Amino acid sequence: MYFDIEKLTKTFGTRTALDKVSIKAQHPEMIGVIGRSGAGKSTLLRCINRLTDADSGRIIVDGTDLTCLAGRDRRLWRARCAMIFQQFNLVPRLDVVTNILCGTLSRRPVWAGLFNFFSRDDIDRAVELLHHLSLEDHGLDRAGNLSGGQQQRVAIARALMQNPDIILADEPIASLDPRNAEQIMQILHDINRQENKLVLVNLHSVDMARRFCDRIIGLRQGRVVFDGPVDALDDRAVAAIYDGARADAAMAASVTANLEERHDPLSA
Amino acid sequence: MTLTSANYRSMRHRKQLYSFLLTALVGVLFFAAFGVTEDRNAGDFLSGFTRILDFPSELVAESAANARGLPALMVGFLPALIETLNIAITATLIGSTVAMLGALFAAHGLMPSTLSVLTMRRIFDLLRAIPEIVVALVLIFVLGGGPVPAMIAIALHTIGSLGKLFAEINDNADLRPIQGLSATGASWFQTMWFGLLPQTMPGYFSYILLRLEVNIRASAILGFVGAGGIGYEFKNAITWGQGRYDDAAALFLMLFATIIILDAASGRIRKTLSEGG
Ligand SMILES: Nc1ncnc2c1ncn2[C@@H]1O[C@H](COP(=O)(O)OP(=O)(O)OP(=O)(O)O)[C@@H](O)[C@H]1O
Ligand SMILES: [Mg+2]
Repeated sequence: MYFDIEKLTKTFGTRTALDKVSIKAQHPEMIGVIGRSGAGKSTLLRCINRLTDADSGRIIVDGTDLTCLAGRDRRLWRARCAMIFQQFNLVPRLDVVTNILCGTLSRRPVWAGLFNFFSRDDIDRAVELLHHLSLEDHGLDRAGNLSGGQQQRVAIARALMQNPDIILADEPIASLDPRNAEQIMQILHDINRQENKLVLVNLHSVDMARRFCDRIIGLRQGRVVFDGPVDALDDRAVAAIYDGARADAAMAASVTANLEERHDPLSA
Repeated sequence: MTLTSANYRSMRHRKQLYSFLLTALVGVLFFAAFGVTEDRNAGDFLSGFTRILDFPSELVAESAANARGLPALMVGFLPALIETLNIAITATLIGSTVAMLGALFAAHGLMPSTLSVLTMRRIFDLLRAIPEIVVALVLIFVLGGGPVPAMIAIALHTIGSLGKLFAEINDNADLRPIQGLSATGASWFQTMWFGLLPQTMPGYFSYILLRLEVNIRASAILGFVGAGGIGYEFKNAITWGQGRYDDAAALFLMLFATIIILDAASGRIRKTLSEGG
């Protein structure tokens, strides 16, 4: 069992971002979440990672309700479900290897961080990931100096460094060119297939979702309006998810809207 | 570089104010000493006024006559200078460390609660509002003279002024790396250490250097009121009057040389920092 989301609800003021969302994930699938801008895709992922607190509903993992976790338990849960962001969210001034090693912070004592001390095993693993993601020439570069595609690969390496069960990717390819987007989706797909990790990925592109995902969840105004295998996602379903508008027009609109990014206050 | 021009300018103004204060204090002491020696037979105000120029010229004449002796005098005063520098450096180190910690609680966006932000900012305001010299005088009265009261006084003021500036730097920090680390399960402190400090450190550092200069002047000034160091020697030399003018000149030159060297060095370091960032 990966997780069982029951009637998860979240409102921001008068706006309902998530409206009684229920999703069960029992296998290490590749799940694509699609929907218009503002449908609640990011909020869903952030609630799972606990960056955002839901108002009501439960997320059950191994018999415990995640929405009640606090302090150390919450941090350990976060380590188990790695998050990948549209804007990469790396530390631009730190070098690539240190950024990757940041994936181990949850299991390191605070003093170790103060002296920039990481275990030998962790460093070995970080360098291995560096090679695995074809970043070997950039280990000592500042993360901020890399291209978007490279930064997203560093973010994926950091996520893998956490050794998570679940990877949550919030529009990981929305700020990348088509070639890099393709590559990142392929990497996520490989992680899902080869390492048996559940990948939950928010996407703007129905085409990408169709090509790489096993299962699709469609959100509209905070409600799940589609949940099924990718084969079941026909044009009617897409139209329903995107509010009846022509799917590609809606997509284009939501991509543009998304370029204007939001900063949410931390709930750390 | 998150150094805003407005902050930088206010800091510079402060520096200039201290230079001015130091000069003014020295000036006042000069004339006070003059008043002491001439006390009994002092003429009226106007005739005294014409002697204003006699005094510096005496000083210059006397020290010029002893010019060869100046380097030796300076070496003799080195311990006093080192004490002044020590007070300033210790106070800057302690003050900036506390300010750095405090500023984490004073920035919007890093803290979920606005209460901590407001409380911390008011504390900084308070620490900044009381002049060092007042705190130092009170502490000297309580603890007696010596470097410790001066150090505490300067450190407190440093916390107030750097804390505010650091909090502003923190306000402007990019929250995305912080959120990214937070999502990995890193603790709050780890998140700040790896996500915030790499962004803000260059900015902090250039304010700390600027503050060090300010604090050296403050430390020298506090010497006049009994905190020891070069200010104390200076006061002695001047109140002594004739016969120790060469001491005063030597001390003057040393203080100026120190500040000029520090100014140049910190200017260069700041430049390297901002180019590196
Ligand atoms: N921190 C916040 N404060 C206020 N409202 C928010 C906040 N975060 C999200 N919302 C609102 O919640 C709703 C869902 O937002 P969410 O970011 O989950 O949508 P999304 O599907 O990810 O959209 P996009 O495709 O643009 O990323 C929107 O109406 C949004 O305005
Ligand atoms: Mg979103």
